[in-house]
Amino acid sequence: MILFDLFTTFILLGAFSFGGGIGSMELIRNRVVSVRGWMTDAEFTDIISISEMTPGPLGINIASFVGARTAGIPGTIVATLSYVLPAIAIVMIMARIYFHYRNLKGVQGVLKGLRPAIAAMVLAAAITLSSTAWWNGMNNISLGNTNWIAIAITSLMLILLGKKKTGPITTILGSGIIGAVIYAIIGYPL
Amino acid sequence: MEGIRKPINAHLLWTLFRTCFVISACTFGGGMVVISMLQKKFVDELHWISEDEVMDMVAIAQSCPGVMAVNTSIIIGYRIAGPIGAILTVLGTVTPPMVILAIISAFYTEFRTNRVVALVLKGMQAGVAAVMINVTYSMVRNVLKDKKIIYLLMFIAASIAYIIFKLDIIILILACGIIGGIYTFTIGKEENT
Repeated sequence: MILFDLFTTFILLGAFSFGGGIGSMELIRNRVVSVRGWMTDAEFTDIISISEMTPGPLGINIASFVGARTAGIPGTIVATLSYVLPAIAIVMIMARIYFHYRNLKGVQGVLKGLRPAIAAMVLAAAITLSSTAWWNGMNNISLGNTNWIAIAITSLMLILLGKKKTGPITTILGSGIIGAVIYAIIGYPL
Repeated sequence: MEGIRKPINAHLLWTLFRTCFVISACTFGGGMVVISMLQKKFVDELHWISEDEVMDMVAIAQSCPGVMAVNTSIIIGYRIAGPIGAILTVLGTVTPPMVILAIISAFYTEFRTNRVVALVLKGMQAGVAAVMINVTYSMVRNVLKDKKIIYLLMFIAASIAYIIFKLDIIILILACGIIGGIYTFTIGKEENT
């Protein structure tokens, strides 16, 4: 039953999403693409692009989109609400603890321990999503198959991100426009 | 914070829902942007919570799993109107993206087969890659900045375990959380206080 699968998957994702939108991207990708096979890496990359262009937090946008893609309107409601359900309970409990003891040191220690794990997960996501952009996926990596235009755009954007501190929305939108123009000119096969 | 809850009435609950709904529908990017909007509304305009409380609330929101903007709205709703308030602020925050993404998803297949859209999305893949590489760089730098060998070793071990040996991601998060907790409570205790 797809709705039940969405419920169990997203409630777990909600309880383990640490490190903000991008920090928890690999966790969602792992369950949605690798474990459940609800979509491909290319589709998942599209969702990230679309989610950055639409209002609302990245994690919620992704849950809503995955739910809608797999099971329509009931799917989007189940996925989104299951994703925030653990937070409702945990935040209320933490608020009580915090205002009782006035500190969160223990929790913050655990969170500090999670930072290396989050960095490792973001690294994994960067590898997967870069392979999708440059070689159409991890299984197609070869020199002849390399999309040099994509590599050039990524490099340009990395320079802008580093030197001009461009935001993610501008970066993704910019690469979309530059990429579309170049691909249209050279007649890139889709 | 306890005991200063407002008397719950329909108007109060509606204001909570509507405020979060409007902020969520109009704010791109999430995170701190949403939080500053919430602060503007609930602190500067409505005077329902104080500036100091917001700082505490953000600290709590950041310590919980999930989306920071959603967590902040939960805690604001809870503070003002208890669990019902928390549920209404969450619904207010998640409804706009849910509706927007459901509509986009319904048209995704046609949308994706349009050549111009497909070319733009193909271009965007390169941008997403750049954003991910950039975030990886700053996160790894952050781990190194602590100058504690344990965090560097954890990063290397976690990367190898997950990327090469395909360790389950939930087990990875649990293991690192437990190690981090034990480290803070034993060796790192003096340094952290």
